[in-house]
Amino acid sequence: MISADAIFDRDTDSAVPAVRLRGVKAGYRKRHDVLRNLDFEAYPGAIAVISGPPGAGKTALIDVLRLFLNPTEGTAEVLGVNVSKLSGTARAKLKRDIGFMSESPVLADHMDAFDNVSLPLRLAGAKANAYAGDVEDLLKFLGVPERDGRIASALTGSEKRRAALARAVVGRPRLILAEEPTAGLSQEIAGRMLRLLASMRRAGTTIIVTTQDENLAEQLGAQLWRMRDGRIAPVIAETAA
Amino acid sequence: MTPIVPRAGGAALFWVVAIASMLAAIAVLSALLAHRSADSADAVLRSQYIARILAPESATALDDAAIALNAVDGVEAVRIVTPERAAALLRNWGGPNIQPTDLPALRLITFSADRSPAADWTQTVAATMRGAGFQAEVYGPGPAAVEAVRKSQELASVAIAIGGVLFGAALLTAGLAGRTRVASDRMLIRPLADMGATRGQVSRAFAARAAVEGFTAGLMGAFGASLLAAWALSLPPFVAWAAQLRQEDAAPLLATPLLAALLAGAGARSASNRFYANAARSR
Repeated sequence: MISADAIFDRDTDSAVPAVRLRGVKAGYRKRHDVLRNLDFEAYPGAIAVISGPPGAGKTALIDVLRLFLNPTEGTAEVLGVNVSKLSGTARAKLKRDIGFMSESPVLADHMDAFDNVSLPLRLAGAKANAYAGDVEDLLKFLGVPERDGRIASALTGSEKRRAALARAVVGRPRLILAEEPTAGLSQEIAGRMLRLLASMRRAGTTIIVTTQDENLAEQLGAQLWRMRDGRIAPVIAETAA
Repeated sequence: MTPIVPRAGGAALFWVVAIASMLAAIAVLSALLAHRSADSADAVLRSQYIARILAPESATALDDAAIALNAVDGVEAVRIVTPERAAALLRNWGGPNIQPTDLPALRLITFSADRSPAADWTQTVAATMRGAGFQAEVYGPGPAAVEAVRKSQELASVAIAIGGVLFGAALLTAGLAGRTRVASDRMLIRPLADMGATRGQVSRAFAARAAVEGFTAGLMGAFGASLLAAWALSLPPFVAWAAQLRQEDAAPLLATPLLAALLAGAGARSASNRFYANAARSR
Protein backbone atom coordinates (compact mmCIF):
# COMPACT_ATOMS: atom_id res chain seq x y z
CA MET A 1 0.00 0.00 0.00
CA ILE A 2 1.34 3.42 -0.92
CA SER A 3 1.36 5.93 1.91
CA ALA A 4 0.25 9.49 1.34
CA ASP A 5 3.51 10.77 2.86
CA ALA A 6 5.50 8.87 0.27
CA ILE A 7 3.86 10.84 -2.49
CA PHE A 8 4.70 14.33 -1.24
CA ASP A 9 7.89 15.54 0.33
CA ARG A 10 9.01 19.18 0.38
CA ASP A 11 10.79 21.71 2.55
CA THR A 12 8.97 24.98 3.07
CA ASP A 13 9.57 28.48 4.36
CA SER A 14 6.78 29.14 6.81
CA ALA A 15 7.73 32.74 7.64
CA VAL A 16 5.67 34.37 4.89
CA PRO A 17 1.91 33.83 4.75
CA ALA A 18 0.84 31.76 1.79
CA VAL A 19 -2.39 33.74 1.72
CA ARG A 20 -3.01 37.19 3.14
CA LEU A 21 -6.22 39.16 2.58
CA ARG A 22 -6.56 42.64 4.07
CA GLY A 23 -9.83 44.56 3.97
CA VAL A 24 -10.93 42.65 0.89
CA LYS A 25 -14.21 43.51 -0.73
CA ALA A 26 -15.30 41.50 -3.74
CA GLY A 27 -18.40 40.36 -5.53
CA TYR A 28 -19.98 39.42 -8.79
CA ARG A 29 -21.81 41.31 -11.50
CA LYS A 30 -25.21 40.72 -9.94
CA ARG A 31 -24.04 41.00 -6.34
CA HIS A 32 -21.15 43.35 -5.70
CA ASP A 33 -20.76 43.00 -1.94
CA VAL A 34 -20.30 39.30 -1.28
CA LEU A 35 -17.05 39.76 0.62
CA ARG A 36 -17.13 42.73 3.01
CA ASN A 37 -13.89 44.04 4.45
CA LEU A 38 -12.52 40.54 4.91
CA ASP A 39 -9.21 39.82 6.67
CA PHE A 40 -7.75 36.36 6.44
CA GLU A 41 -4.36 34.72 6.36
CA ALA A 42 -2.89 31.24 6.26
CA TYR A 43 0.74 30.19 6.54
CA PRO A 44 2.59 27.47 4.66
CA GLY A 45 1.82 24.08 6.11
CA ALA A 46 -1.47 25.26 7.62
CA ILE A 47 -4.92 23.91 7.01
CA ALA A 48 -7.85 26.28 7.31
CA VAL A 49 -11.32 24.85 7.33
CA ILE A 50 -13.91 27.49 6.51
CA SER A 51 -17.53 26.81 7.27
CA GLY A 52 -20.61 28.89 6.95
CA PRO A 53 -24.16 28.81 5.69
CA PRO A 54 -24.93 29.02 1.99
CA GLY A 55 -24.47 32.60 0.77
CA ALA A 56 -21.94 33.45 3.47
CA GLY A 57 -19.25 34.11 0.83
CA LYS A 58 -17.20 30.87 0.94
CA THR A 59 -17.24 30.49 -2.84
CA ALA A 60 -16.32 34.15 -3.37
CA LEU A 61 -13.39 33.75 -0.99
CA ILE A 62 -12.20 30.68 -2.89
CA ASP A 63 -12.71 32.58 -6.17
CA VAL A 64 -10.42 35.34 -4.92
CA LEU A 65 -7.80 32.82 -3.80
CA ARG A 66 -7.93 30.91 -7.09
CA LEU A 67 -7.39 34.20 -8.94
CA PHE A 68 -10.81 34.15 -10.59
CA LEU A 69 -12.21 37.16 -8.76
CA ASN A 70 -10.31 40.37 -8.16
CA PRO A 71 -10.98 42.33 -4.97
CA THR A 72 -12.67 45.66 -5.60
CA GLU A 73 -11.04 47.00 -2.45
CA GLY A 74 -8.26 45.86 -0.13
CA THR A 75 -5.26 43.73 -0.95
CA ALA A 76 -5.04 40.04 -1.69
CA GLU A 77 -1.66 38.33 -1.65
CA VAL A 78 -1.53 34.76 -2.80
CA LEU A 79 1.77 32.90 -2.47
CA GLY A 80 3.47 36.23 -1.86
CA VAL A 81 2.05 37.90 -4.96
CA ASN A 82 -0.41 40.80 -4.96
CA VAL A 83 -3.00 39.44 -7.36
CA SER A 84 -4.81 42.68 -8.18
CA LYS A 85 -2.74 43.69 -11.19
CA LEU A 86 -1.32 40.47 -12.55
CA SER A 87 -0.94 40.02 -16.31
CA GLY A 88 -2.78 37.12 -17.91
CA THR A 89 0.39 35.06 -18.30
CA ALA A 90 1.61 35.77 -14.76
CA ARG A 91 -1.84 34.87 -13.45
CA ALA A 92 -1.77 31.56 -15.37
CA LYS A 93 1.72 30.76 -14.06
CA LEU A 94 0.71 31.51 -10.47
CA LYS A 95 -2.33 29.25 -10.89
CA ARG A 96 0.06 26.33 -11.52
CA ASP A 97 1.02 26.64 -7.86
CA ILE A 98 -2.62 26.48 -6.79
CA GLY A 99 -4.56 23.23 -6.82
CA PHE A 100 -8.31 23.74 -6.95
CA MET A 101 -10.96 21.14 -6.38
CA SER A 102 -14.41 22.50 -7.09
CA GLU A 103 -17.53 21.27 -5.36
CA SER A 104 -18.72 20.27 -8.84
CA PRO A 105 -15.49 19.28 -10.53
CA VAL A 106 -15.33 19.31 -14.32
CA LEU A 107 -13.16 16.64 -15.88
CA ALA A 108 -12.24 16.36 -19.54
CA ASP A 109 -14.88 13.86 -20.56
CA HIS A 110 -12.88 12.46 -23.49
CA MET A 111 -9.92 11.51 -21.29
CA ASP A 112 -9.50 8.65 -18.83
CA ALA A 113 -8.64 9.24 -15.17
CA PHE A 114 -4.88 9.04 -15.79
CA ASP A 115 -4.94 11.66 -18.57
CA ASN A 116 -7.22 13.93 -16.55
CA VAL A 117 -4.98 13.80 -13.50
CA SER A 118 -1.81 14.37 -15.51
CA LEU A 119 -3.27 17.36 -17.37
CA PRO A 120 -1.75 20.05 -15.08
CA LEU A 121 1.66 18.44 -15.55
CA ARG A 122 1.27 18.34 -19.33
CA LEU A 123 0.25 21.99 -19.34
CA ALA A 124 3.36 22.79 -17.30
CA GLY A 125 5.46 21.06 -19.96
CA ALA A 126 6.38 17.88 -18.05
CA LYS A 127 7.25 14.73 -20.01
CA ALA A 128 4.96 11.72 -19.69
CA ASN A 129 7.70 9.35 -18.55
CA ALA A 130 8.63 11.80 -15.77
CA TYR A 131 5.18 11.90 -14.21
CA ALA A 132 3.53 8.59 -15.11
CA GLY A 133 4.66 6.85 -11.89
CA ASP A 134 3.49 9.68 -9.62
CA VAL A 135 0.09 9.84 -11.29
CA GLU A 136 -0.39 6.08 -11.07
CA ASP A 137 0.61 6.06 -7.37
CA LEU A 138 -1.79 8.88 -6.61
CA LEU A 139 -4.69 7.21 -8.38
CA LYS A 140 -3.93 3.90 -6.69
CA PHE A 141 -3.88 5.60 -3.29
CA LEU A 142 -7.27 7.15 -3.94
CA GLY A 143 -8.61 3.91 -5.38
CA VAL A 144 -9.30 5.22 -8.87
CA PRO A 145 -8.65 2.79 -11.73
CA GLU A 146 -6.08 4.68 -13.81
CA ARG A 147 -6.11 2.63 -17.00
CA ASP A 148 -9.30 0.59 -17.25
CA GLY A 149 -10.34 2.09 -20.58
CA ARG A 150 -13.12 4.21 -19.14
CA ILE A 151 -13.23 7.86 -20.08
CA ALA A 152 -14.21 10.43 -17.46
CA SER A 153 -17.83 10.57 -18.53
CA ALA A 154 -18.10 6.88 -17.60
CA LEU A 155 -16.64 7.33 -14.09
CA THR A 156 -18.90 7.28 -11.04
CA GLY A 157 -19.50 10.50 -9.13
CA SER A 158 -17.17 9.34 -6.34
CA GLU A 159 -14.43 8.44 -8.84
CA LYS A 160 -14.77 11.82 -10.49
CA ARG A 161 -14.33 13.61 -7.16
CA ARG A 162 -11.29 11.51 -6.30
CA ALA A 163 -9.79 12.11 -9.74
CA ALA A 164 -10.47 15.84 -9.31
CA LEU A 165 -8.65 15.87 -5.97
CA ALA A 166 -5.77 13.93 -7.52
CA ARG A 167 -5.65 16.49 -10.34
CA ALA A 168 -5.59 19.32 -7.81
CA VAL A 169 -2.62 17.90 -5.89
CA VAL A 170 -0.60 16.14 -8.59
CA GLY A 171 1.52 19.17 -9.46
CA ARG A 172 2.59 19.52 -5.80
CA PRO A 173 1.01 22.97 -5.59
CA ARG A 174 1.93 25.33 -2.74
CA LEU A 175 -1.73 26.10 -2.10
CA ILE A 176 -4.73 23.76 -2.31
CA LEU A 177 -8.28 25.00 -2.33
CA ALA A 178 -10.97 22.39 -1.90
CA GLU A 179 -14.71 22.90 -1.78
CA GLU A 180 -16.56 20.19 0.18
CA PRO A 181 -13.81 17.63 -0.56
CA THR A 182 -15.50 14.73 1.24
CA ALA A 183 -19.12 15.41 0.31
CA GLY A 184 -20.91 12.33 -0.97
CA LEU A 185 -17.94 10.00 -0.36
CA SER A 186 -17.85 6.82 1.69
CA GLN A 187 -16.08 7.00 5.03
CA GLU A 188 -13.15 4.99 3.76
CA ILE A 189 -12.63 7.12 0.66
CA ALA A 190 -13.16 10.34 2.61
CA GLY A 191 -10.55 9.12 5.10
CA ARG A 192 -8.06 8.57 2.30
CA MET A 193 -8.70 12.00 0.88
CA LEU A 194 -8.14 13.57 4.29
CA ARG A 195 -4.93 11.56 4.76
CA LEU A 196 -3.73 12.84 1.41
CA LEU A 197 -4.47 16.44 2.39
CA ALA A 198 -2.76 15.93 5.74
CA SER A 199 0.35 14.54 4.06
CA MET A 200 0.45 17.54 1.75
CA ARG A 201 0.20 19.81 4.76
CA ARG A 202 3.21 18.07 6.27
CA ALA A 203 5.05 18.70 3.02
CA GLY A 204 4.42 22.43 3.53
CA THR A 205 1.37 22.95 1.36
CA THR A 206 -1.24 25.40 2.57
CA ILE A 207 -4.70 23.90 2.41
CA ILE A 208 -7.94 25.82 2.53
CA VAL A 209 -11.13 23.81 2.68
CA THR A 210 -14.65 25.18 2.53
CA THR A 211 -17.38 23.00 3.96
CA GLN A 212 -20.56 22.93 5.92
CA ASP A 213 -19.22 20.01 7.93
CA GLU A 214 -17.25 21.57 10.81
CA ASN A 215 -16.07 18.12 11.95
CA LEU A 216 -13.57 18.25 9.09
CA ALA A 217 -11.51 20.77 11.04
CA GLU A 218 -11.09 18.30 13.89
CA GLN A 219 -10.35 15.42 11.54
CA LEU A 220 -7.66 17.45 9.80
CA GLY A 221 -6.34 19.08 12.96
CA ALA A 222 -7.05 22.39 11.32
CA GLN A 223 -7.98 25.90 12.35
CA LEU A 224 -11.72 26.39 11.91
CA TRP A 225 -13.02 29.67 10.51
CA ARG A 226 -16.64 30.71 10.22
CA MET A 227 -18.04 32.95 7.53
CA ARG A 228 -21.23 34.95 7.69
CA ASP A 229 -22.43 37.83 5.53
CA GLY A 230 -19.14 38.18 3.72
CA ARG A 231 -16.98 38.33 6.83
CA ILE A 232 -14.78 35.69 8.40
CA ALA A 233 -13.53 35.02 11.92
CA PRO A 234 -11.48 32.21 13.49
CA VAL A 235 -13.26 29.93 15.90
CA ILE A 236 -11.41 29.90 19.20
CA ALA A 237 -11.45 26.45 20.73
CA GLU A 238 -13.17 26.31 24.08
CA THR A 239 -10.91 25.14 26.84
CA ALA A 240 -11.98 23.30 29.94
CA ALA A 241 -12.21 25.59 32.96
CA MET B 1 -1.57 10.45 -25.27
CA THR B 2 -5.09 11.80 -25.50
CA PRO B 3 -5.25 15.24 -27.10
CA ILE B 4 -6.21 18.05 -24.73
CA VAL B 5 -9.25 18.91 -26.83
CA PRO B 6 -11.55 16.10 -27.97
CA ARG B 7 -11.40 15.06 -31.61
CA ALA B 8 -14.80 13.40 -31.68
CA GLY B 9 -18.14 15.13 -31.89
CA GLY B 10 -17.64 17.49 -34.83
CA ALA B 11 -19.27 15.47 -37.61
CA ALA B 12 -22.20 17.84 -38.19
CA LEU B 13 -19.94 20.87 -38.41
CA PHE B 14 -17.49 18.95 -40.60
CA TRP B 15 -20.18 18.38 -43.21
CA VAL B 16 -21.37 21.99 -42.98
CA VAL B 17 -17.84 23.17 -43.79
CA ALA B 18 -17.41 20.53 -46.50
CA ILE B 19 -20.63 21.58 -48.26
CA ALA B 20 -19.89 25.28 -47.80
CA SER B 21 -16.40 24.74 -49.24
CA MET B 22 -17.84 22.88 -52.20
CA LEU B 23 -20.26 25.72 -52.88
CA ALA B 24 -17.43 28.23 -52.49
CA ALA B 25 -15.25 26.43 -55.02
CA ILE B 26 -18.15 26.05 -57.47
CA ALA B 27 -19.06 29.73 -57.13
CA VAL B 28 -15.53 30.81 -58.00
CA LEU B 29 -15.19 28.28 -60.82
CA SER B 30 -18.49 29.42 -62.34
CA ALA B 31 -17.48 33.05 -62.09
CA LEU B 32 -14.12 32.28 -63.68
CA LEU B 33 -15.77 30.45 -66.56
CA ALA B 34 -18.24 33.30 -67.09
CA HIS B 35 -15.36 35.74 -67.16
CA ARG B 36 -13.36 33.53 -69.52
CA SER B 37 -16.37 33.15 -71.80
CA ALA B 38 -16.93 36.91 -71.91
CA ASP B 39 -13.24 37.47 -72.61
CA SER B 40 -13.34 34.98 -75.42
CA ALA B 41 -16.42 36.63 -77.01
CA ASP B 42 -14.74 39.98 -76.53
CA ALA B 43 -11.60 38.80 -78.29
CA VAL B 44 -13.58 37.40 -81.20
CA LEU B 45 -15.74 40.49 -81.63
CA ARG B 46 -12.90 42.96 -81.25
CA SER B 47 -10.62 41.24 -83.73
CA GLN B 48 -12.98 41.00 -86.73
CA TYR B 49 -12.08 43.26 -89.72
CA ILE B 50 -13.25 43.64 -93.30
CA ALA B 51 -11.28 45.06 -96.26
CA ARG B 52 -13.10 46.17 -99.38
CA ILE B 53 -10.79 46.11 -102.37
CA LEU B 54 -11.60 49.04 -104.68
CA ALA B 55 -8.74 48.77 -107.16
CA PRO B 56 -7.38 47.22 -109.27
CA GLU B 57 -10.48 45.48 -110.62
CA SER B 58 -8.79 42.58 -112.41
CA ALA B 59 -10.08 39.02 -111.95
CA THR B 60 -7.06 38.00 -109.86
CA ALA B 61 -6.89 41.22 -107.83
CA LEU B 62 -8.87 39.83 -104.93
CA ASP B 63 -6.56 36.79 -104.56
CA ASP B 64 -3.47 39.03 -104.87
CA ALA B 65 -4.94 41.44 -102.28
CA ALA B 66 -5.57 38.54 -99.88
CA ILE B 67 -1.90 37.50 -100.21
CA ALA B 68 -0.77 41.11 -99.64
CA LEU B 69 -3.12 41.48 -96.67
CA ASN B 70 -1.81 38.29 -95.12
CA ALA B 71 1.67 39.80 -95.13
CA VAL B 72 0.60 42.84 -93.11
CA ASP B 73 1.96 42.78 -89.57
CA GLY B 74 -0.75 41.75 -87.10
CA VAL B 75 -3.11 40.28 -89.66
CA GLU B 76 -4.22 36.65 -89.49
CA ALA B 77 -7.03 34.39 -90.70
CA VAL B 78 -7.49 36.16 -94.07
CA ARG B 79 -10.55 34.89 -95.99
CA ILE B 80 -12.09 36.16 -99.21
CA VAL B 81 -15.85 36.58 -99.01
CA THR B 82 -16.76 34.34 -101.96
CA PRO B 83 -20.25 34.51 -103.47
CA GLU B 84 -20.98 31.15 -101.83
CA ARG B 85 -19.90 32.40 -98.39
CA ALA B 86 -21.84 35.65 -98.84
CA ALA B 87 -24.96 33.75 -99.91
CA ALA B 88 -24.70 31.42 -96.92
CA LEU B 89 -24.42 34.42 -94.64
CA LEU B 90 -27.35 36.26 -96.19
CA ARG B 91 -29.62 33.23 -96.08
CA ASN B 92 -29.84 33.82 -92.31
CA TRP B 93 -31.84 36.94 -92.99
CA GLY B 94 -33.14 36.62 -96.61
CA GLY B 95 -34.30 33.03 -96.58
CA PRO B 96 -33.08 29.90 -98.35
CA ASN B 97 -33.64 31.15 -101.90
CA ILE B 98 -30.64 33.41 -102.07
CA GLN B 99 -28.17 32.00 -104.56
CA PRO B 100 -24.53 33.00 -105.12
CA THR B 101 -25.33 33.95 -108.68
CA ASP B 102 -27.91 36.49 -107.44
CA LEU B 103 -25.25 38.51 -105.70
CA PRO B 104 -23.00 41.21 -107.10
CA ALA B 105 -19.23 40.84 -106.88
CA LEU B 106 -18.55 41.87 -103.29
CA ARG B 107 -14.74 42.19 -103.40
CA LEU B 108 -14.57 41.77 -99.63
CA ILE B 109 -11.89 40.07 -97.53
CA THR B 110 -12.39 39.29 -93.84
CA PHE B 111 -9.42 39.04 -91.50
CA SER B 112 -8.69 39.20 -87.83
CA ALA B 113 -6.02 40.85 -85.73
CA ASP B 114 -3.61 38.56 -83.91
CA ARG B 115 -3.37 40.97 -80.98
CA SER B 116 -5.31 43.86 -79.53
CA PRO B 117 -4.75 46.50 -82.21
CA ALA B 118 -4.37 50.27 -81.87
CA ALA B 119 -7.42 52.44 -82.50
CA ASP B 120 -6.15 53.62 -85.93
CA TRP B 121 -5.06 50.19 -87.10
CA THR B 122 -7.56 50.15 -89.99
CA GLN B 123 -5.73 53.17 -91.49
CA THR B 124 -2.38 51.46 -91.00
CA VAL B 125 -3.65 48.37 -92.84
CA ALA B 126 -5.13 50.52 -95.67
CA ALA B 127 -1.84 52.40 -96.03
CA THR B 128 0.17 49.17 -96.14
CA MET B 129 -2.18 47.81 -98.83
CA ARG B 130 -1.80 51.05 -100.76
CA GLY B 131 1.97 50.57 -100.67
CA ALA B 132 1.41 47.08 -102.17
CA GLY B 133 -0.59 48.56 -105.03
CA PHE B 134 -4.14 48.06 -103.76
CA GLN B 135 -6.73 50.68 -102.98
CA ALA B 136 -8.76 49.37 -100.05
CA GLU B 137 -11.19 50.49 -97.40
CA VAL B 138 -10.72 48.74 -94.06
CA TYR B 139 -13.47 48.48 -91.44
CA GLY B 140 -13.10 47.43 -87.82
CA PRO B 141 -15.76 46.15 -85.40
CA GLY B 142 -18.83 48.36 -85.47
CA PRO B 143 -20.37 50.26 -82.54
CA ALA B 144 -22.91 47.46 -81.97
CA ALA B 145 -20.09 44.95 -81.49
CA VAL B 146 -18.25 47.30 -79.15
CA GLU B 147 -21.44 47.78 -77.13
CA ALA B 148 -22.02 44.01 -76.99
CA VAL B 149 -18.48 43.57 -75.73
CA ARG B 150 -19.01 46.23 -73.06
CA LYS B 151 -22.22 44.55 -71.90
CA SER B 152 -20.66 41.09 -71.75
CA GLN B 153 -17.74 42.48 -69.76
CA GLU B 154 -20.18 44.08 -67.32
CA LEU B 155 -22.02 40.80 -66.88
CA ALA B 156 -18.73 38.99 -66.38
CA SER B 157 -17.77 41.51 -63.69
CA VAL B 158 -21.11 40.93 -61.94
CA ALA B 159 -20.52 37.17 -62.13
CA ILE B 160 -17.06 37.59 -60.61
CA ALA B 161 -18.46 39.79 -57.85
CA ILE B 162 -21.25 37.33 -57.04
CA GLY B 163 -18.77 34.45 -57.15
CA GLY B 164 -16.47 36.33 -54.78
CA VAL B 165 -19.28 37.12 -52.36
CA LEU B 166 -20.50 33.51 -52.40
CA PHE B 167 -16.94 32.29 -51.92
CA GLY B 168 -16.45 34.64 -48.98
CA ALA B 169 -19.83 33.81 -47.45
CA ALA B 170 -19.32 30.08 -47.83
CA LEU B 171 -15.88 30.24 -46.26
CA LEU B 172 -17.11 32.44 -43.44
CA THR B 173 -19.23 29.43 -42.58
CA ALA B 174 -15.96 27.66 -41.83
CA GLY B 175 -15.06 30.43 -39.41
CA LEU B 176 -18.44 30.22 -37.71
CA ALA B 177 -18.18 26.44 -37.59
CA GLY B 178 -14.82 26.79 -35.86
CA ARG B 179 -16.43 29.05 -33.26
CA THR B 180 -19.39 26.72 -32.75
CA ARG B 181 -17.07 23.74 -32.34
CA VAL B 182 -15.29 25.51 -29.48
CA ALA B 183 -18.61 26.49 -27.92
CA SER B 184 -19.58 22.83 -27.69
CA ASP B 185 -16.44 22.16 -25.62
CA ARG B 186 -16.37 25.37 -23.62
CA MET B 187 -16.88 23.48 -20.34
CA LEU B 188 -13.38 22.11 -20.77
CA ILE B 189 -11.84 25.59 -20.82
CA ARG B 190 -12.76 26.40 -17.22
CA PRO B 191 -10.71 23.60 -15.60
CA LEU B 192 -7.87 24.25 -18.05
CA ALA B 193 -7.81 27.89 -16.96
CA ASP B 194 -7.93 26.82 -13.31
CA MET B 195 -4.94 24.54 -13.88
CA GLY B 196 -2.86 27.44 -15.14
CA ALA B 197 -3.17 26.92 -18.88
CA THR B 198 -2.29 30.16 -20.65
CA ARG B 199 -4.62 31.74 -23.16
CA GLY B 200 -2.16 30.74 -25.90
CA GLN B 201 -2.12 27.10 -24.81
CA VAL B 202 -5.90 26.91 -24.87
CA SER B 203 -6.45 28.81 -28.10
CA ARG B 204 -3.65 26.92 -29.88
CA ALA B 205 -5.21 23.57 -28.97
CA PHE B 206 -8.66 24.58 -30.20
CA ALA B 207 -7.37 26.45 -33.27
CA ALA B 208 -5.21 23.50 -34.31
CA ARG B 209 -8.15 21.11 -34.04
CA ALA B 210 -10.42 23.44 -36.03
CA ALA B 211 -7.73 24.01 -38.66
CA VAL B 212 -7.23 20.28 -39.18
CA GLU B 213 -10.99 19.70 -39.35
CA GLY B 214 -11.47 22.74 -41.62
CA PHE B 215 -8.72 21.55 -43.96
CA THR B 216 -10.12 18.03 -44.18
CA ALA B 217 -13.64 19.34 -44.75
CA GLY B 218 -12.30 21.85 -47.29
CA LEU B 219 -10.51 19.04 -49.15
CA MET B 220 -13.74 17.07 -49.19
CA GLY B 221 -15.58 20.13 -50.49
CA ALA B 222 -12.98 20.82 -53.19
CA PHE B 223 -13.10 17.19 -54.26
CA GLY B 224 -16.89 17.36 -54.45
CA ALA B 225 -16.67 20.58 -56.46
CA SER B 226 -14.20 18.94 -58.88
CA LEU B 227 -16.53 16.00 -59.43
CA LEU B 228 -19.54 18.27 -59.91
CA ALA B 229 -17.65 20.54 -62.30
CA ALA B 230 -16.38 17.56 -64.31
CA TRP B 231 -19.93 16.23 -64.60
CA ALA B 232 -21.45 19.63 -65.51
CA LEU B 233 -18.79 20.34 -68.13
CA SER B 234 -19.52 17.01 -69.80
CA LEU B 235 -23.13 18.05 -70.43
CA PRO B 236 -23.85 19.25 -73.98
CA PRO B 237 -24.61 22.92 -73.15
CA PHE B 238 -21.30 23.33 -71.33
CA VAL B 239 -18.88 21.14 -73.27
CA ALA B 240 -17.45 24.18 -75.07
CA TRP B 241 -16.71 25.80 -71.72
CA ALA B 242 -14.43 22.93 -70.71
CA ALA B 243 -12.05 23.93 -73.51
CA GLN B 244 -11.68 27.33 -71.87
CA LEU B 245 -10.36 25.91 -68.60
CA ARG B 246 -6.74 26.61 -67.83
CA GLN B 247 -4.30 25.19 -65.30
CA GLU B 248 -4.65 28.22 -63.05
CA ASP B 249 -8.38 27.53 -62.74
CA ALA B 250 -7.46 24.85 -60.21
CA ALA B 251 -6.50 27.69 -57.84
CA PRO B 252 -9.91 27.96 -56.14
CA LEU B 253 -9.96 24.17 -55.68
CA LEU B 254 -6.55 24.30 -54.06
CA ALA B 255 -7.24 27.46 -52.08
CA THR B 256 -10.55 26.26 -50.65
CA PRO B 257 -9.14 23.73 -48.13
CA LEU B 258 -6.39 26.13 -47.08
CA LEU B 259 -8.81 29.02 -46.58
CA ALA B 260 -11.31 26.76 -44.80
CA ALA B 261 -8.52 25.66 -42.43
CA LEU B 262 -7.39 29.23 -41.89
CA LEU B 263 -10.87 30.57 -41.20
CA ALA B 264 -11.95 27.64 -39.04
CA GLY B 265 -8.74 28.01 -37.04
CA ALA B 266 -9.24 31.75 -36.69
CA GLY B 267 -12.87 31.28 -35.63
CA ALA B 268 -11.86 28.70 -33.04
CA ARG B 269 -9.02 30.88 -31.75
CA SER B 270 -11.32 33.86 -31.36
CA ALA B 271 -14.01 31.83 -29.59
CA SER B 272 -11.57 30.05 -27.29
CA ASN B 273 -10.00 33.39 -26.36
CA ARG B 274 -13.43 34.67 -25.39
CA PHE B 275 -14.32 31.59 -23.35
CA TYR B 276 -10.87 31.62 -21.74
CA ALA B 277 -11.36 35.24 -20.78
CA ASN B 278 -14.65 34.32 -19.13
CA ALA B 279 -13.07 31.36 -17.35
CA ALA B 280 -9.81 32.90 -16.21
CA ARG B 281 -9.86 36.65 -16.10
CA SER B 282 -10.56 38.21 -12.79
CA ARG B 283 -13.55 40.46 -12.74
